[in-house]
Order: sequence, then C-alpha cells, then structure tokens
Amino acid sequence: MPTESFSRHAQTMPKALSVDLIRLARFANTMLLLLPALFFAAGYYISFYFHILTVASLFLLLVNFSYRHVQKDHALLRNFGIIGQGRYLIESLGPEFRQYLFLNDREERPFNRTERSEVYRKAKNVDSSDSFGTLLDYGATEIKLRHSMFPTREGGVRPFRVTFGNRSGVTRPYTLKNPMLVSAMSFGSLGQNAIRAIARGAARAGIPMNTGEGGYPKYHLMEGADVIFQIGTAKFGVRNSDGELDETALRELANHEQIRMIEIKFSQGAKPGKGGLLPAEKITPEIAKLRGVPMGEDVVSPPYQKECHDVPSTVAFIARIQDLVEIPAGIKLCIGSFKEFHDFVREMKRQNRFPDFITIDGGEGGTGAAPAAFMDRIGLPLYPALYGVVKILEREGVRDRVKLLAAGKLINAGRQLTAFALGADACYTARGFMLALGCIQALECGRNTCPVGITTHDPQLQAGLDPELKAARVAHYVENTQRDLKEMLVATGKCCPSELSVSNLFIPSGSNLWQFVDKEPLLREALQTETESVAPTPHSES
Amino acid sequence: MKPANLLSWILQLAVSAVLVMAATGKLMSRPESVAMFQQLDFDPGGRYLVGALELVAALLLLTPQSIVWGAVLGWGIMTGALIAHGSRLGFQGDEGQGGLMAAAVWIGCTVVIFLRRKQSQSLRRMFARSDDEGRSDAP
Ligand SMILES: Cc1cc2nc3c(=O)[nH]c(=O)nc-3n(C[C@H](O)[C@H](O)[C@H](O)COP(=O)(O)O)c2cc1C
Repeated sequence: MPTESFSRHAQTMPKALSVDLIRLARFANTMLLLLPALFFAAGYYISFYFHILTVASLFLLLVNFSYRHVQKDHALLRNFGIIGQGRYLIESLGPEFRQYLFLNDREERPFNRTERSEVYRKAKNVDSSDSFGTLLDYGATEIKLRHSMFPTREGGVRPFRVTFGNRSGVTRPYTLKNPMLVSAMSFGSLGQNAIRAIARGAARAGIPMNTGEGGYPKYHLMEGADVIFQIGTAKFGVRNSDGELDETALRELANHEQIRMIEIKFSQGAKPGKGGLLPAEKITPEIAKLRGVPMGEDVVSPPYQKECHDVPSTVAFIARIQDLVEIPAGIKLCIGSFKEFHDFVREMKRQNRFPDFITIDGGEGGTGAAPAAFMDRIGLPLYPALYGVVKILEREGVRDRVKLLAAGKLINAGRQLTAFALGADACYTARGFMLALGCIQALECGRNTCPVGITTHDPQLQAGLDPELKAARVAHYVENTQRDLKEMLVATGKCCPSELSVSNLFIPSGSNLWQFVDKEPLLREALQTETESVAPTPHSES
Repeated sequence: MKPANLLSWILQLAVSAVLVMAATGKLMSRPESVAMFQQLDFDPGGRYLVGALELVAALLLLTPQSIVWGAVLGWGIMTGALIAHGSRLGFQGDEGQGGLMAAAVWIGCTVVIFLRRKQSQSLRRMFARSDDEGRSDAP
C-alpha cells in the first residue's frame, strides 16, 4: 500500500543533517560524568586554575543527578537532566520574545500593538495620524461607521449630556458631561498609585470613576474625582457579618459628596457566573482591613447577590437600594440569555421599578484574575448583547426608563461610536485607562508582579508609576479620544452620539454581530428593517 | 524556631566564622597562606579570588534570602580546598589542619543545603516558574 511504503520510507530515509535532541541529551549526560575527571587531570597536570572548572562541573553533576534521580515532578528533567532545563528557560522567555519580536502588529490579544499604541499616543498627547492605509482586515470583519455626504457644520455638535436619575426622581441626579467613564477596578486589583493616578486624571478630565468591588474606596476618593460606588457580590464595604447588605453603611457612603452613583454588580464580562477573585499574593494588611477579609488566602466573592434568588427578588433588591440612597443606582451585568433579560425587564415593568442605569459588560471584558475557562468561554460579546438589550427595552416600551452603559474593549472612539450606534448612552472602559497608565499587556495582573506597577502592591514595582505624570496621561487620553469621537460624529452628520443608530453602521458578515443577528430571529428582523430604513431612530434624549 | 532552622543557623554562623577567618588570612597575605598558594601555583590571583569568594559566601550565608546560595558557594570553595589538599598539600602537619577544617566546613555547607532545600527550589524556579511545566501550555 502506498501509505505504508511512504511511512517506511520516511523512517529509513537518511537525513543529511539533523539534531536528535534525545541523543544529544544522552550524550550530554554521559559527558557530564567525564567532565570533572577531565578538569581534575588538567588541574593536576597543567594549572591549579583548572580546578575552578572541576568544582563547577562537580556541582553541575550533582544538580543533574538530583534532576534525574531525586525529583519526580518533571518528567522532562527526569529523563534529560540539565539539558531539559533549556526548554523551561526558553519557554519562560517566550511571551516576552513573542511580544517584542515575533508577533505582528495586529496579532496580539486582547489588544494588539496598533490598538495599544493608539492609546499610548493619545495618552502622551502626541500626533496619532498614520500613513498609507488601514492595517485592518478591511473587508471581512470590521464594523464601519457610515458617514454622510453632509458633515455636521461648525458648532453643530451639541455638548454631550446624559443625566442619570431624573426619571426616578432621585434627590441628587448625576449628569455626565463626557461619554467616557472609568470602569470598575478595585483597590486590590490595582495598586494605590495606579488608582490615584486614574482618579486624579479623571478629576481633571471631569469624568467619574467606578470603585470596583474593593470595599471602602479610600484611594478612589483621594483625588477629588466623582465616584461610582460598586456593590460587589460580596458587598465589600457595605456588608454585615452575614454577608448581607449593611444599610447604614451604604447610606453613609452614599451621602459622601464625591459618591455620585451606585452600581450593583451582578456579573462581569470576563467571568459571568463567578464572583470576584483576589489572589492571596495581592492581599496586603490594608486591603484585608478595607474589605474585612483574612490575609493569606484567596478572596473569592460569591457568584450571586445573596438577596437575589429570582427575577422578582432581584428587582425588589434594586428598588430597596434605590430607596435607601439619594443618588442614582444601577446594575452591571453580562448578558447570557435574552429571554432571562426579557423576563427581568417585564418584572421591572410589573413592579414599575427600574434601575437608573444598566451596564452591559461584554464577554471580552478584562479582569484582574479569573479562571481561563470563564474568560474564554462564557458571556455574550458586547455588541450583540447591547443590541439585544436595546431591542428588548424598546419592545417593552421602556427604553427611556434606564440609561445604558457599555463596557468591553471600548478603548477608542471607533469602538465607542459603534456602541453608541447600537444604543449605548455612555461608554465604560477599564483597560483603556490601564493602557493610558502605561500597561504593556504583560498579562500578570493576578500575580502581584506587574512590571509597570499598575496591578501590584509591591512598593518597589509601584515606585515606577508616578501618579502626577500618569494623571496627565489619563486626562490626555480622555481629551484626545473625545476629540476623535467628535470628529467622527461630524463625519456622520449628527449632532450628538445618541442620534446614531444601527443604520449608521456597516456590519460585514464576518463580524460577530452579524453572525449573531443572523441567528436570532428577533434581532434579525429588527436589524434588517432598520438597516434598510434611512431615517435614524433616536432612542433617548440627550 | 523549628529545631531544623536552629541547627541551620548554628551551622551558618560557624561556617561563616571560619570562612571570614580564612578569607582575612588570604586577603591580607599572611605568610602561611601565601606559602600554601605558592605551593599550588595559585598565587596571588587564585588566593585573592578564593579569599573574596569566601567573604561573599559568608555574607550570603548570613542573609536570610540567600542562605542556600551562600552554602552552595561555600560548598564549592571547600570542594576546591579538598581537591588541593587531596592532590598536593596532604592532610598531615600544619597545612593538613587546614584540610581537616575544610572537610568540616564542607560537611557544614552540605547540611545547610539539605536543611534549606526548600529555598533551593529556586534553583529550579530560576528557570521554570512556579506554575510549572513552564508558563503556559506545556503538557
Ligand atoms: C484589573 C481589572 C479589575 C477589574 N475589577 C472589576 C471589579 O472589581 N468589578 C467589576 O465589576 N469589574 C471589574 N473589572 C472589569 C471592568 O470593569 C470592565 O467591565 C471590563 O474590563 C471591560 O472593559 P475594558 O474592556 O475596557 O477593560 C476589572 C477589570 C480589570 C482589567
């Protein structure tokens, strides 16, 4: 048979030059036995200096012996000894080498080099124009904005304003003046320098910052920025000893003048169905105190809010918090099933209680630490999720009762405008701000070894992050992204982001939005009629 | 303190003391150590080198983070000393005293390495990280 003869041929075919690693290792292990004797002879007959090598080779011999005959953890070392160590050595440098040398500008994940350098350039306030042409896979997957033949006239763009809490009539409503917000990042996942730098920059740029689920937001409050307090599933900062809501603590926090809104976290895109996770390496005495947890073990939050068993109790819980505080209160979740969300909205309608805002976090979202299985395999991506949510709210006729915030890689104006066109009222980003602080995407957020001092509590590593300098970068990042956004808006001929609709998007069949829409009849119908129609459908007041 | 740690510290102190004494002799060119190194054709470069290494080893042995490395270095120097005595100097007479001392320190270092073997895992971790089989996708 031809295949058989082929394989036999392949086996016996002499290779002109090749390296057989197994033989090489065996040879090295034998030579290692001879080396000390060789050097000893040289030391004896030629010069005593050779004995330095004798000692070194004896040492190697012993290490090799322990690898091959003592340790049992690593089969590779047991079989090949010191030479096998070369694999670990080279592999441990792999990520760095790949990032520095071998990966293309468009290849890295989650953010490729081009995306990152755009943020860096905005943050450093240097020119960010490129030449010659786009590097994107232009035809296949990228969602594009449809521009108009008649761009908006000078002065035609209205200042961005979105007010939270006016519908439910809270005592202290909150008005956003900038479409970009700092998404939830706790003290714990970030170090204090990073938080203070972002907070200072946010204060300067006039945007609010979400505290994340890290307990009392000591460092978030330090720089005078507006703060959105997040109630995580473990309720750090506002929990009693049973792990339930401590109403007085919450009321006290909500009365703080810098705290402008409350966000109740149900799930997070990077790990929906799994609570927050702070690895033991990152727990300092201060964090243990602010969160009220023991040192030396991982802090794992429950995957649910204890009070919420089903749809009615969830709506009731949200209403309870709204009644407790005088500021807008909303929720954050990653969408799993539209049917569930639909039921949720119907229940809100039935109880006539709506959260002041809903944050939709996409499955592509970031995290300080989460199991890879969750990061990779659970949670709808932002665009389809956002679009579905908008459709459900519109179908129930309650789109105007809640504001929608979107999160999930919205680090540049292009992606933010896509979210606006799909129906978002404002855009959250977390990693955008980390990049503005100088994140080099080393992917070590959970190990306390962040080389640029952002996600670490090691004082030596944090020393590299100068809050004042980085605060300026944060502010520049916001301003320059804002400018891009405005210029792109002008190109579409609109006066504010809320005028955009799906008809302003070109959605190629290769994008996940298209594939998703194609499968979901409810959305397909809506999308087809909408992309056909010319008139934009404004979905909220500005 | 655990008995093993106590024993280790006693040995570390003793070994460092001997190392420091030996090092001063070599670095200050005491006649007996000069004579010894001349006999080995290892003077003066080797003498200064060994003296300096002995000081470093003593220092490492007394620093908690690097005990095992100090012991390894001490072990290496003493292995060299044993080779010298075994091949040229012998273990008798005045110089032989030094050889016996070297053997004692060698044993001390070996015991310290054994007692601190947990720390010496970093020997392996220096290359492979703690989440092991390398960093990512190895079998
Ligand atoms: C370091 C880090 C810590 C985070 N901590 C929280 C958190 O405490 N609570 C939360 O709801 N989301 C948290 N997130 C998720 C972000 O708030 C955000 O939803 C997600 O990263 C998507 O935005 P991005 O793609 O712009 O980063 C964290 C993300 C990162 C990168």
